[in-house]
Amino acid sequence: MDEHLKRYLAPGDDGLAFTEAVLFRASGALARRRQATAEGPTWSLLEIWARPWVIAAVLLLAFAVVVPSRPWSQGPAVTADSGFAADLLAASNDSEVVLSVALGN
Amino acid sequence: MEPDAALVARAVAGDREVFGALVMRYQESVRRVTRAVTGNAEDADDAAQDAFLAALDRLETYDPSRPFGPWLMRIASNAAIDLVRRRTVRAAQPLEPFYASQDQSPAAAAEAAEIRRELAAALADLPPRQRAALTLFDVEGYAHAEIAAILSVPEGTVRSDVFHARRALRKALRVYGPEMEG
Repeated sequence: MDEHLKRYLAPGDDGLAFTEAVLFRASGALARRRQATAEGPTWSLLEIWARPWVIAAVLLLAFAVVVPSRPWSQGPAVTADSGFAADLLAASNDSEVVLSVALGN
Repeated sequence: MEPDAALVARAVAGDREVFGALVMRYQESVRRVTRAVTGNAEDADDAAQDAFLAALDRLETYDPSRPFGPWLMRIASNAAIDLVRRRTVRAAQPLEPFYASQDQSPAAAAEAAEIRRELAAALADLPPRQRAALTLFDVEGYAHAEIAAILSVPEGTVRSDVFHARRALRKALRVYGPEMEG
């Protein structure tokens, strides 16, 4: 039975025409593969566009993290030592704030 | 003969000759399986071509430490079964290979034609997966475990598929004598 089945299912040709048909349909894919191999890895349009932005974003993030932690980057503490801002900060309740604003102090 | 893995490595780079050599090496096995599943020469070759193109697309996923045949057969079986499920294929009819083209007496040729018809009818009654399992086991010589991996089903299912398919074919061919039940 096995032999009959094998003979029954045999294509009955030398396979050359079939192979040519496959190669014809595969010609585009094969050409793309050859091109990719010849050129090496390439950046897609999105990658080309995004790459500088990604690098810039990483640098900015690193700068933002590193710079404030340096001693020389620490400025004088902000204090409300006089005038209008001092009155506002020193005011103990809302009415004093309103009064201070109204007086223009 | 250059090993499959070496051919695949060169085909990945788009070598037309090498990919053609791979197709030539496996086209007969692949086409037998797709013919068994589809029951029609034209559909079978469509599915077989689709399988080789799909294999080309996925060459990078092939593990060269494993045999290429089962990897390709998995793609081919799926392509043929998908084709059968996707659309109503052309009606199953006796395939016309060299079965009847050899020198035969008229009586022998008539009997061969009758056997073809019986085989076609018996195969057509089987589900596509059983046809694939039977062909992979009895014609291509794969082991149950390999067929299980190819068809993505448990090994017990493959054993059951092969058993039922063989029984159906034996029943169809019983009238031609005990030698047909091998």
